[in-house]
Amino acid sequence: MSIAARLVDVTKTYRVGDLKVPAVRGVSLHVESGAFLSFAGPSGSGKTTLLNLLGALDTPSSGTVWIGDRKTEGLSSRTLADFRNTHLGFVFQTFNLIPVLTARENVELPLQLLGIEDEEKRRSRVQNMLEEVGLGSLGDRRPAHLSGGQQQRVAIARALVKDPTVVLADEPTANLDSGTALEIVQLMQSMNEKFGTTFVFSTHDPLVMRHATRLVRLRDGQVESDERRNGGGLEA
Amino acid sequence: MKPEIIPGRLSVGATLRIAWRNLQRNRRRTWITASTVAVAVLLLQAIQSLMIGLERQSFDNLINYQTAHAKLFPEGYFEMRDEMPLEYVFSHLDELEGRVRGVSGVAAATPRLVFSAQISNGSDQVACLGVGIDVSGSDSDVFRISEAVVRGGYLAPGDEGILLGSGLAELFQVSTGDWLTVLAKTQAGAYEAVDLPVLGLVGTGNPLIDQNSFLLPLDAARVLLDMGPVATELAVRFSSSSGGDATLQRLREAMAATDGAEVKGWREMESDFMSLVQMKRTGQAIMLALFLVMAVVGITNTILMAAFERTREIGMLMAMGLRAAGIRRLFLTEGALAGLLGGAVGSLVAFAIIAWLTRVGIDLTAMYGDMDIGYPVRGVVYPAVDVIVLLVCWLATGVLAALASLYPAARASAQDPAEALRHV
Amino acid sequence: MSRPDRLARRKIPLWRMAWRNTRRNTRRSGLTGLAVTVAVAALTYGMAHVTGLLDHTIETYARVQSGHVRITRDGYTARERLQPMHLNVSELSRLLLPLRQHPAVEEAIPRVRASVLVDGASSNRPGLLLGVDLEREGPYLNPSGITVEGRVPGAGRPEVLVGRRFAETLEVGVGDSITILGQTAYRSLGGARLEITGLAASGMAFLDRVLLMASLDQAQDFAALEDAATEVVVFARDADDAENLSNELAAQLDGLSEDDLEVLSWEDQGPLIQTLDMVRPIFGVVLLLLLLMAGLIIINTMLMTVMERTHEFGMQAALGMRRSDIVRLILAEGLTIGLLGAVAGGALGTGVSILIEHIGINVGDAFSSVDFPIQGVVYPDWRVSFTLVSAFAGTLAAGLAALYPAWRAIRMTPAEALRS
Repeated sequence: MSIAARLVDVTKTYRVGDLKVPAVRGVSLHVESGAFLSFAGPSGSGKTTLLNLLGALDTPSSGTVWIGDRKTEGLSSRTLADFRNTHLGFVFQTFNLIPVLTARENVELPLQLLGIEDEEKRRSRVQNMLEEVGLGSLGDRRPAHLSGGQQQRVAIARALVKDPTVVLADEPTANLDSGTALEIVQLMQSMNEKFGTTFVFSTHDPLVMRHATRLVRLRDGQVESDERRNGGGLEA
Repeated sequence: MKPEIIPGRLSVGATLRIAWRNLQRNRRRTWITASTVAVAVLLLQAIQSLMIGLERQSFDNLINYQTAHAKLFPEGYFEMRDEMPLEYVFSHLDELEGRVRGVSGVAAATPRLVFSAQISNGSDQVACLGVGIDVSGSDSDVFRISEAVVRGGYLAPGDEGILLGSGLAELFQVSTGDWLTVLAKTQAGAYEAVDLPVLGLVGTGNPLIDQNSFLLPLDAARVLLDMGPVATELAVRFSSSSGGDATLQRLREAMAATDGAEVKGWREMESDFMSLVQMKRTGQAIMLALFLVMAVVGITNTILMAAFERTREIGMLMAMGLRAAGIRRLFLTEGALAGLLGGAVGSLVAFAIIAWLTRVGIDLTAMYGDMDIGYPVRGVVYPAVDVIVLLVCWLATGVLAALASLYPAARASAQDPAEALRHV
Repeated sequence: MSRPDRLARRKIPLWRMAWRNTRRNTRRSGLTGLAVTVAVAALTYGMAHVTGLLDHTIETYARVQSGHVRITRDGYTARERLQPMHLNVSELSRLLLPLRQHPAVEEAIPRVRASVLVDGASSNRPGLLLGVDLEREGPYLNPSGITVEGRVPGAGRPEVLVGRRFAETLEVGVGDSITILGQTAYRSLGGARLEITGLAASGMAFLDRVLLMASLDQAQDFAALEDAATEVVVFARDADDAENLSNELAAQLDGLSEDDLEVLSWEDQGPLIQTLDMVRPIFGVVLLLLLLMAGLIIINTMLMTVMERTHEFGMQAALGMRRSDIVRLILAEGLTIGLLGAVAGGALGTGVSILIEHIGINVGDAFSSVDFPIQGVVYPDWRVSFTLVSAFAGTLAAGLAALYPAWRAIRMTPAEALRS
């Protein structure tokens, strides 16, 4: 099985004033293509930092991050931006839709950023994607007129529309009620199965963790446990 | 599959759309910002139009009553023109006039004989300028003196009398029908005095004419000065359809071969006035600069606030792969649009005010009395709406606003995406 | 029962809270303050600039032309352009002393103003002969100050100071002699031959191209003005008092002189001063517009601050703060930021004004077509009061601008505010 992303002895230290705060301390990890991987752990355990490193939003203090066959080390911010543009999709706890764009325009944005000129092609891909996430008829609404769950569906459609190597989702369900949370993780899972897109997400919700095919528990910036499960979603 | 060239940027249309919607998102703030710009632009446009109106009227006045579009002087005269020397004259007038009229773009030409004189009413005497004009018609083809006669009538051929500047008439407390003594020095150096009746008064708004000049038929002037069929200058009017500068250039070229004639455009003759105009412009520019600085602060402020507010949104756009340049462009566009909006409001209000003033006019006499304010303009000034200038100013507002957004845009785009996303 | 107005006496640490609030988001407070800073600096400089422009013009006009009060023979002013020498102020020796003794008078000096022709090689050039009291003119026409070459003429000697530009057209220099011709008080032609001792540059083109300055006695001899001058200019200790002073002097002179005299304050002599005085309010409006712009910017940032703190205001209201307290708190915050910005702006404006006062702004070439005293270089004239007034106005504008956000803040009920 090919490798979607790889962390080799990665550390990340933040400076807070004069203090050095280690967020990630010597993590090595392989993420297989098609994985549905969840980071779990208490706040401050390094989940977000690892996701940022895997998402090329940040570079490690030491060690190497590979995404596909590219190292993120030493790349300019512009190259990183282009890299994210082509290879990565993001979903966030707070949805982070662009409030002034409609659902459809939000999903279309990554395609525009990819430089796809053919408007017809873009539109049809966007419409397909919106239908995949169950929002085929709500494309003209702005985020303010969508529920939290609907917004997160738009965010997932936006992450998937450009067919990325990896989708990174930081606490995608934390702002949702448990029913909606379940719907969202099931949607992610079905997308993972249907398109084979690799998903790496973080959560502290046991209900959500249960769906992961691989669960990496973190504590104090280190990997505490790494368990693989078949056919995710099985009761632990 | 994935395209090979990745622009990583938004199209102009998408950038404009997002920027515009962001402005709509916080309408109150947008309008307040736009009002700041509008105040500055209103002032700029209004003053601009007033000055353009004042200058145009002044230029028209100079051309109509004093300088014409261009003048031909005998070689050496121009340098000594303050003394109004009679040693430099054109004597082959017909030939010269023929040549000048042959130049394309020249509508009319007329000879004038300008001399220094004293006017006296018996007890008081004042130095002034005498101008002999061709009353048989050609002077009226070039100048508009006949339209400025405020009392009495214009001169007719054979008249033995003068048209007196209205200011001089007031000084001597004379009017049409009264007699004045004109004293002049002939070319030979002898003083000649002649009593002449005032046939009319001219009020042009131009102090040189009104306060300092009298006009008389060319023949009468020649007799007074004991001169033959000569002139000290040949004034030229260009046809309104011809480009002034091009005609002037052709006139120069045509006269280059003629010995003893110098061509001067009206701007050259009035360089003092031009520097006055320039000075007024500089003075205004200093005041207006203060307003522009204020407007710039307003725009910078708003865009900075917008950038702070939208930190997480910026982070998301970065996460999606929008390059820093794209982020910058978004904020620059937003600033420019806010500026253009304010500029449009300011310009429209200015346009309305100016359009109204253009009909009503501003009565300078009511404001300044008879004082010489440096512009040869009489009575009522009409501001001029120059749509091109208005538009250029408006577009310049957009550019300025974009420049004002440079700093906030740079700040927004220099953020670290992970950090920006963490922002609450 | 406790009455509500007893509650009003409880102490809210208004200013301390305001001060701390401004420091919560220093960047934004800085932005708000910046608007005040720029406005106050612009205001300070603007006032200095306008004063430099207008007051300098007026002052020069007074020094050279009008004095604060000018005494002439009746009918002279109307016919001034003809310079009728027969309309003169006589018996100077009797008039001047009582004038100078008037408590409001700083100085009273006679001047002879005569239009003359300078006899040149090829032609006669018109000039303006000013016969002045060389000693007393020090602070006014300032003969020694404007002398750029050679020296000031001596009293009682046939000497003359010539405007530099005039000398150029006449093609004469220091040491040369010129002959002047002109009308005398008896309406006959007079003449004099004067030696050029120096060249003058007053900075006023209209003067420098015609100026001939000689001592009073020489001009009197030339124009046959025995113990007489064409005018007596009076400078008041307080320029604003000119109108009063002119009335008093008119009354005083009525008994002193047998001539019919015309006593005019500078404002009555010509439209210049009135016009410039009319320009001043226009500049005032212009500067007010600047404040308005600053106010709008402050409203913008304060609104953002207030909207962000809606929740906090709800809580404060729940804790028992009144709406008026919240309004006062926001106003205090506006004033605090305003004051800080104003202090910075005052300093900046003062610095810029003083700097430019030394350099000057060249607004155009000296030109001669306008016959009032405008100079090609504008020097702003800064005064402490400008900085203080601007800073005060800026602070006040910030306080006023905070009113609208404050009103927005208290529009909601505490429950609504807490829910947001």
